[in-house]
Amino acid sequence: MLPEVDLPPVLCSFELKLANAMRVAESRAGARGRPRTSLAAALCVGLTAVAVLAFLFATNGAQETSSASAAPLLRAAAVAALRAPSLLPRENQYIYVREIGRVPAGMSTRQSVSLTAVEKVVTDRWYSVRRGSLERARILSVAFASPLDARLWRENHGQEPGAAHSFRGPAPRWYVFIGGRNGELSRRQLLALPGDPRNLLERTLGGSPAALAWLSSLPGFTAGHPSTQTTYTYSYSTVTGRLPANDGFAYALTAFSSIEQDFRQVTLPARVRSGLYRALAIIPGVRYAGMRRDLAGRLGAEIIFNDRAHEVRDELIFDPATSALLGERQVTTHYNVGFPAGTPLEDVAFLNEAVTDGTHIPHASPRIH
Amino acid sequence: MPLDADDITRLYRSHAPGLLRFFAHRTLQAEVAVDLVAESFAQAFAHRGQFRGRAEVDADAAAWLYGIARHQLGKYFRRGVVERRALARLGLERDAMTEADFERVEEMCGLDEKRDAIERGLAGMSKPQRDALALRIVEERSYPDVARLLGISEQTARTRVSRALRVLAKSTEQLSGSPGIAA
Repeated sequence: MLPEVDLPPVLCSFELKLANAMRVAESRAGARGRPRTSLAAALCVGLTAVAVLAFLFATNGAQETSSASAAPLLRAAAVAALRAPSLLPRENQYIYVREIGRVPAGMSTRQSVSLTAVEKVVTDRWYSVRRGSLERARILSVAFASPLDARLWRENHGQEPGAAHSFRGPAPRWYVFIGGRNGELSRRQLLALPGDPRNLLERTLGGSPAALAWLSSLPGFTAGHPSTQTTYTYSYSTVTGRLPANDGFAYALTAFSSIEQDFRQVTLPARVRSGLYRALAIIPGVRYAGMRRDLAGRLGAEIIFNDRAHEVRDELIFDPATSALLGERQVTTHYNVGFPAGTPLEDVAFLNEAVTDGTHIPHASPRIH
Repeated sequence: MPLDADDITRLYRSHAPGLLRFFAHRTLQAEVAVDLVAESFAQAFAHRGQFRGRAEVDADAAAWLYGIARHQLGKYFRRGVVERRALARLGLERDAMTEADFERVEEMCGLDEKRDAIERGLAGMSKPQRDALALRIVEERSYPDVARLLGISEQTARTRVSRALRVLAKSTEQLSGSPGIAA
């Protein structure tokens, strides 16, 4: 049973801290008790593991997604984002990102497309406005659903674990989906972005009258202080009957997807990052799905958005206490491009981010944004 | 059957709002209520082995949790400070409360309304009744002490306190979030 009311942000972030502390305490207690573990206990653990594996096999990795309002946790993250340092390199410096991802690979046969392998890949990326970009990826492991899949994979196009590739790309601008042309902003434009969630949403949706009218109809949006333009547009649309033709889902999807992309950009001023968390709290359909571990095993709060247009569920795992985005997943909700419901099409954990002067891997450092 | 971390997390999600109201209505202080919620859940984890109900039955776990909550509240009223023993054992410290936190607690628990109602109630009673109430309820004096300090008989002291409480109850009974387990 999930709470029907929004707790104050301080108690939302406390939930995360409590969950972490309890896990640590339980694992310590478990470690102390290990030498006395009896054969029966070992058998119990084994049976539980088998049951979990059987469950995962039966559900194909799909998770229960009972959900509640995401607003309190997003507000907590918004407050934390204001305290977190921002990574804003000079134009001749690089932003470095390391991520680990699990990518399913399908294989076409005459009958159908089926899931045959899952690659686990670690990727290092460097971006510099003046000096271009570099990406290095290495396959850590490949898992197969069956020996036949493994054989087919190797005979056709599969890459073995350890295989690496690198790719040099052109110099990017700061790529943020907030009202820039094709998402690209200059550094000056990036620094001039507002922190107000309503303004960010207006810019993200491009400022069309229909989009603004939809925004104005959102409870969280009108509860604040909408801009004069928004108020005027909404009043005009109401009087003339020109309200958005759809139910707003397309706008919600656009806003969520854009913000999801923006969070992957590390070059966001703190107030913009904070504003984006608040903007997420306004978007209808964004729900809290509970505490989840990311691909790297870190515990965070998960918010979800069901993208019914593409039959996938977008999931973001973040730490409300620091505002760090830990990971992202995109999971099929129905049979989709050859993958059964519950298959993670994308499962990424963001491990490290830093500003570097060259394309070298920096020493391990705490994750900041 | 003992509870585990997942059970406590589930309890938190389902009962933290109710517990916050429970504490806020009784202490009328947002920060104290938040601290008491935090310590109660830390205590629940610390004493999870003592739970004797059925973990899957929410009512069993809720009754046990509210037992811990009442105990914590009693300690707070006796000592004037919130105990943090279980929080310290888990190495936990809550974040500092922001304006948004205070606003949310006030909004959730209707503390402003409650304070107003109590002020109205206090204003609606006579000074002798107010004095007797303050000595008996706020200062927790015994009835013989109240009688001695006010220069009245013990029976009169009891009558004044009883009438004052009735006035106070009347002024607060219309509030939506009046105290209760499910509040």
